[in-house]
Amino acid sequence: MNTVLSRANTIFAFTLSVMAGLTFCCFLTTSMNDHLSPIKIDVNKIIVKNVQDFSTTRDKNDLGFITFDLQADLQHLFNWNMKQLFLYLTAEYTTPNNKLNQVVLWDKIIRRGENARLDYRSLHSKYYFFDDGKGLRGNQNVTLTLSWNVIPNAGTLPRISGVGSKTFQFPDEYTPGNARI
Amino acid sequence: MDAIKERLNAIPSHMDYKGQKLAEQIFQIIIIVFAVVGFAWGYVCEQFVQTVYILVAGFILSCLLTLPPWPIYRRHPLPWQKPRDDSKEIPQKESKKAGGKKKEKSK
Amino acid sequence: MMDFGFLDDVRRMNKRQLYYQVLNFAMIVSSALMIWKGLMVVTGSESPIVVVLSGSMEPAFHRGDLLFLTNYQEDPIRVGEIVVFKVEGRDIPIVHRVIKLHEKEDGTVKFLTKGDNNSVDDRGLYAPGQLWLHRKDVVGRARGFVPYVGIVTILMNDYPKFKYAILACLGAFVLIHRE
Repeated sequence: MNTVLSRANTIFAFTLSVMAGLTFCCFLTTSMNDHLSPIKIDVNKIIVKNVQDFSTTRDKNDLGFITFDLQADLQHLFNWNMKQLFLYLTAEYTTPNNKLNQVVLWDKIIRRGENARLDYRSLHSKYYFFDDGKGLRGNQNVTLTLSWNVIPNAGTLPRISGVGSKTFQFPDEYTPGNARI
Repeated sequence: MDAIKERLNAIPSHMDYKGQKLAEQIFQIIIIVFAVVGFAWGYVCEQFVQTVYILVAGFILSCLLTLPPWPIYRRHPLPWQKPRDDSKEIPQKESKKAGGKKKEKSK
Repeated sequence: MMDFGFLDDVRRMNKRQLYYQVLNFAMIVSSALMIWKGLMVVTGSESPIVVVLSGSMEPAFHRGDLLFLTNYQEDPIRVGEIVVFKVEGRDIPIVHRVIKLHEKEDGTVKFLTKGDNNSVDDRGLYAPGQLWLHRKDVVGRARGFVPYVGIVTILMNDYPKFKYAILACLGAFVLIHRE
């Protein structure tokens, strides 16, 4: 404390510690949130094809196409310790090959301040719905869920599933390869 | 060259002990007050950035107030003994003791 | 005025003090190592804290942000999770999100990742011929996040000279400085 430099050092160190404490308190104020929200998903068109998966083995795999509606109001999830929400729509199903398959069909980043009221109609999936084999045709139990990953300013990174999911089934016949939806 | 040096030396850069303690208390209080106010304000307007800005403002203010050795930090100079002749041996010892005591007191 | 006062400090130390300084230095290094290894045990991850080195997860993570990882084997990997994985032939671990996952009856799992900021999945980043990641490739799963703290690491990575300067300064300070 006897020179200007040592005083500057002390003040800076003290400010940094206070900043760390504030950040931690900010995290504490939001750590109790459950980040839950109701959502509504509907599936419109469902077809399944059997085509070559060029991104993997070039074998013929099942490829699903769906369009879906999505409604959710996530505005109330945002607080002062949330930088963004990462939304993703997951299709979850079981096949003879695999006990559990999860494929993300669509995702969206909502940053703070952006519109968090979702109302989509007949949305196409963003990523290919390729199965790891031929497990989609006639699959009776495919569940769509919308989940979000909370990215805070500082703190934990919880993943939460929206309340409300949609279960659908794929048709028993392949749609010919060149047909479009 | 020497003139510049003298000029530089003439600028007071030293705080006395009480001044140092006062400076420390002042910047701690300022920063904590700004932190608390900033936290409340940030919480109210839901913007953690505001909290950070207010804390930075507190940092700058406390730098301004406590970095330069303002006169307020130099009000209790150490009562150094006057330099004496080396010819007298015994009184010098005494003066050392006295100086030590005074130093402790002034702390 | 430049003067080498700190060298005087060294000169004034006797052997005992010198040993003390060296031991003190060793203690700092070893306690840092202990904390790191202890965290490894608690989190089950070989690298419990990582600094984000690329912008492929923006706007969630920027360069210089710090991630805390856990890697409990009984905790299953699921889609949407942010994993840190190593690929053969690359020494730097990658922080990306799982977007596709297939788990067999016996628990073996294969999955595909993608960076939020990238337009395509990571198959191009994997080792040639590798289509999926497996459990063993995972270094950890992101659990906690602190912004900006790792910025010094980024500076050190970008400017190696800066790194050596900092290390030299720290080492010299610890060895020479006397309370």
